[in-house]
Amino acid sequence: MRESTVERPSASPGAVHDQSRPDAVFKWLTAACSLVVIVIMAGIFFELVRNSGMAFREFGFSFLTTDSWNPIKGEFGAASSIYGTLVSTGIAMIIAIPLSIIIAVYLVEVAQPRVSRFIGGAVELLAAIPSIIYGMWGLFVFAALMQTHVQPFLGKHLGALPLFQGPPMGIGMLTAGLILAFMVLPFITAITRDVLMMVPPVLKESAYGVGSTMWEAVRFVSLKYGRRGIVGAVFLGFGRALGETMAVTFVIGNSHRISPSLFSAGNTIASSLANEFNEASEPIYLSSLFALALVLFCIMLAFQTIAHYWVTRMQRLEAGDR
Amino acid sequence: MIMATEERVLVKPPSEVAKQRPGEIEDASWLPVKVKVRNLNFHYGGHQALFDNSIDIPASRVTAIIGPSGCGKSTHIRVYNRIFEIYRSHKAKGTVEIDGENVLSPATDILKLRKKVGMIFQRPTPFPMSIFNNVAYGVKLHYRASRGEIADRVEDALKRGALWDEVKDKLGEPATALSGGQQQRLCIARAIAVEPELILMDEPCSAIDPVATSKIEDLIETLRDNYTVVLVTHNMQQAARVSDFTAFFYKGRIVEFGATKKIFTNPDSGQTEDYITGRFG
Ligand SMILES: Nc1ncnc2c1ncn2[C@@H]1O[C@H](COP(=O)(O)OP(=O)(O)OP(=O)(O)O)[C@@H](O)[C@H]1O
Ligand SMILES: [Mg+2]
Repeated sequence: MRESTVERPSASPGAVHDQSRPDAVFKWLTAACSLVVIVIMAGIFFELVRNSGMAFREFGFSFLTTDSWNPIKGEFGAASSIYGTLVSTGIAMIIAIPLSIIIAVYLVEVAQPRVSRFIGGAVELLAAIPSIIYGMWGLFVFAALMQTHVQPFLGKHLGALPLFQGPPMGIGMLTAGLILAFMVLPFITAITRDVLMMVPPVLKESAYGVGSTMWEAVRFVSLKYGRRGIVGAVFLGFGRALGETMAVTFVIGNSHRISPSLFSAGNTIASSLANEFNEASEPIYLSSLFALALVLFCIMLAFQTIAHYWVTRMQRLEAGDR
Repeated sequence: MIMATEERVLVKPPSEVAKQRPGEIEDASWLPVKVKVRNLNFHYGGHQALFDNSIDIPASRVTAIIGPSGCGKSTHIRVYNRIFEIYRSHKAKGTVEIDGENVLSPATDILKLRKKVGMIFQRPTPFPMSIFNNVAYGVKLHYRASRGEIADRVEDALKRGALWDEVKDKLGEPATALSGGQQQRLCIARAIAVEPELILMDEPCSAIDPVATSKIEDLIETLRDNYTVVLVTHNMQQAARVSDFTAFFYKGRIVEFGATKKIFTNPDSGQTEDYITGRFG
């Protein structure tokens, strides 16, 4: 660190000038606090690896590819949980991304300021609702709605697709995906709204100035200008959906099965962990659950890395050096 | 001072009109009028920014608008293409006729209006896309054109924007990678590409260096032949160099409007003289 040799004029005459000692303390204090992050991260990873060792030794790589999960026989495979995690998150994102962006555009570009503030406030409240409440609402209200209206409707009109076949049970993969969509929606909406509000007014004016309609100005200029922030928002929502536990556990049906139908019950890594830790009496059962957790950890890590790579790549592209 | 009269007759032959350079024109009364403004009042919510503005902007000429900061220059020209309307609380009253049609009438097709009236802003505003797409953007909005036609149009606009030679090898690169002066010429090319008739420039050189400024002044000089240009500027020399007519605004009113030469050498109003000689502003 370079010490400042220039004497700073002090506000109060006679103030102490020795800046170096407090700075050193400050430096070490901040560094120590930041180290906590690394320690926690490494600690979790280490524990997951240590505890899942038995399962991986027993089942090897096939742990990831078998979907049988039979505690009685002592057979464990992660495939159905991985499948459920990705599918429910996928459904959530397919619904939440366009919906969030549309809502954000409405809030920033279309709505009267008062309406915008009101709905914007509601979006923030939605983000603050604990996930257990989403789960309860999902199970008691939304699942019933799915069973009596949405699923029969989909079955009738899109029943030719394997995705929408089978008895409407209310709970299941589709319901879980929708609940997840509702949960990530406020996050993506709020960030996208903030990003759109950051678009310089003069840029919007130029878009309108060459004769854009509102749709064209938003689609080709505002959204494009804010795309990096919006991609960031989408990644945030994605990460949240991947790891969401309580709400999904309530509505997904919790069955270790891979079924092509979105109506049927399934599970996710997080929901399996939440459900089964209490029941895991055998060491191999427990170790398999740890192995599941490690898989989720790695999916998250991979996904974070991709997200980071993407965002920086866009940054570079925008800066124009390529 | 030229008073706003209802009708004007073109008395000189167009060939002779076209030959005149900035500063030579002494009288606007025989030029066709492009924009006829009558009793224009403008409110930002409760704050009135323009008071009874009336002016006749001559066609195919450069008209400069000068005046101290906050006198309403930007506000005035932002009425011509109704860009102010994107803010709810901004309200204009009065008439602004472009080619005889009142643009403030609710019947006006606002997209056609903005195609006809291009606008350049104080800071360059490249869209977040490639150089090519920036210029093609407006063309695609207003014309059904094949790829080849669009490319031709882009090239033509960039040439007329005096930017082609500098960017022809990097049309695919992001427009934001250009220098400020290049970005501003890109914005001019983007405006030209949709074939406007009137180009509004709000202090187009205030954010760029002197070399880039002189390039843009040269460009305005060439635009003069085909377009009507309204140029807001704080730079007296610039107004004197490039404009044929000058309007002096003060506190939301048009104090004086006339041939640039006259405004700068022998203004009618004492306020104009004070401003031009730098006694206030
Ligand atoms: N968005 C706005 N909301 C409220 N008042 C505004 C707004 N924009 C401008 N005004 C006010 O309207 C008046 C005219 O502003 P305008 O921007 O037209 O001035 P100007 O002549 O262009 O000034 P400058 O040379 O600084 O650009 C000023 O008093 C200004 O404070
Ligand atoms: Mg201004």
